[in-house]
Amino acid sequence: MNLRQKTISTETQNPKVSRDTKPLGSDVNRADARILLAHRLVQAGILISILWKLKFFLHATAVYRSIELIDPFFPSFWRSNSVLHISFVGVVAAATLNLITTSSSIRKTCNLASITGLSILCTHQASYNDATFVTAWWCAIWSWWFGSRMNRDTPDQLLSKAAFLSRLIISMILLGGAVGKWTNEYWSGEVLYDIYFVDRDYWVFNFLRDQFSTEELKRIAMWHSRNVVMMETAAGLFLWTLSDRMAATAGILFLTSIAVFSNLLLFSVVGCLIALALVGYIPRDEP
Amino acid sequence: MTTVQKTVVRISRIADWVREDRSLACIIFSISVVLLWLVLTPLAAPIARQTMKRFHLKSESFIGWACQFPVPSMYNFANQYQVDSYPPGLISPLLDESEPRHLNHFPARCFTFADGRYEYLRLGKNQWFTLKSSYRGQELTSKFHLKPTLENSNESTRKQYEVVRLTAPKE
Repeated sequence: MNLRQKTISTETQNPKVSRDTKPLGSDVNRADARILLAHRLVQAGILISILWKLKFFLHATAVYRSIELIDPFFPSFWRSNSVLHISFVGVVAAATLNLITTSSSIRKTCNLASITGLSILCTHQASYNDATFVTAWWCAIWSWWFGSRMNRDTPDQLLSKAAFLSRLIISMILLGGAVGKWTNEYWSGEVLYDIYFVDRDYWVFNFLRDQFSTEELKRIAMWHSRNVVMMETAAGLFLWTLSDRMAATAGILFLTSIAVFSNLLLFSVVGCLIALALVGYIPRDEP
Repeated sequence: MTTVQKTVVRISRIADWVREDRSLACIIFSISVVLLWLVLTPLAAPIARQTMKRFHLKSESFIGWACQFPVPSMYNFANQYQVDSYPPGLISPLLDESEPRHLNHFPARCFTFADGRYEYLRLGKNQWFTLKSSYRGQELTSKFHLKPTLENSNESTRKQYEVVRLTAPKE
């Protein structure tokens, strides 16, 4: 008997697990509350990410209205302010509706609307550089998949898959950050020194500027930068291999520390990923 | 159960999931493609070059550029920008107005994103932007002329600029 057969055999002998082997019906009321919780957590994360910089976004749209860039690289659709607004509002509306609905068809439509809106925001002339929309896009992909399996998998099986996929996505995003920093300019601290230590108005950097000389600051920047490179690399390579709860805890701590020690606006980028990591905490009956 | 056995069981379980859940298999495949791209970035110069072109809005086509958006690239490469109110080479370095500054990613954001647009373009005057990205010995430098169109006037609060690329797309 191979390992797979052994696992299946053990599951069928376990009454606690066999209770859950019956697929969920289409009626959401019968669905396990944990499933809805997981989906809603991620929707809340997407919503928090998108709305975290709402004030900035409102100012930004006023700037885009008054200063227009005609760049032939972007087709006119991807330069249009109306497209930007509709996409943004569409994502907010879809995530909000997804938070309250129990209808499977509305959930699926909202997930597709989120993916469409975020795809446009990731490629629009005015928003392509904002990593918020890329992290939210991956969370929307997770939500679309999760929503499509809610009535097909058993709750335990779905939550296991969901936790695995969430930490795989977080690992990939962290590795994406790490790979681009595997260069001398980050190892020497030069880049982060210029971006954060020279004149960034944030409590950590204001405090450090008050306490240390320029030379000392450059040294601190170097060690800070090396720490970021190593931590991101380690998290990117190994986070997905951890158990659900370990990965969730490590992911939440790491993502939160990025925002708290660099810039609170970064919660717009990591907020949805923190919500995605929380899926690993949702309890399951099977080990 | 030993760690090796646990790992084998986990891998076997993931393989089962992928076999019976096609949408999950598609997502895992997409993530694998992104991971392959990431792993090749420091190893294959053309991949890093593509990402630099992506950052400078100089990919061969918009579609090719847009297809790369799922690849996460936060704080990638050493990106610098410099802004001048005079055409390149017109004035001596002593009169240069700005020092190069670093940006986290997508250095072209210094004129496309809201804060940079407001900072440098609100007056409706000509501006020249120099972008430079470096990564493991590779470099890409691009120059952009942000040229006000005829519609601009001092009284008008609405400004319009044409983005002119001063370097050839294929370097």
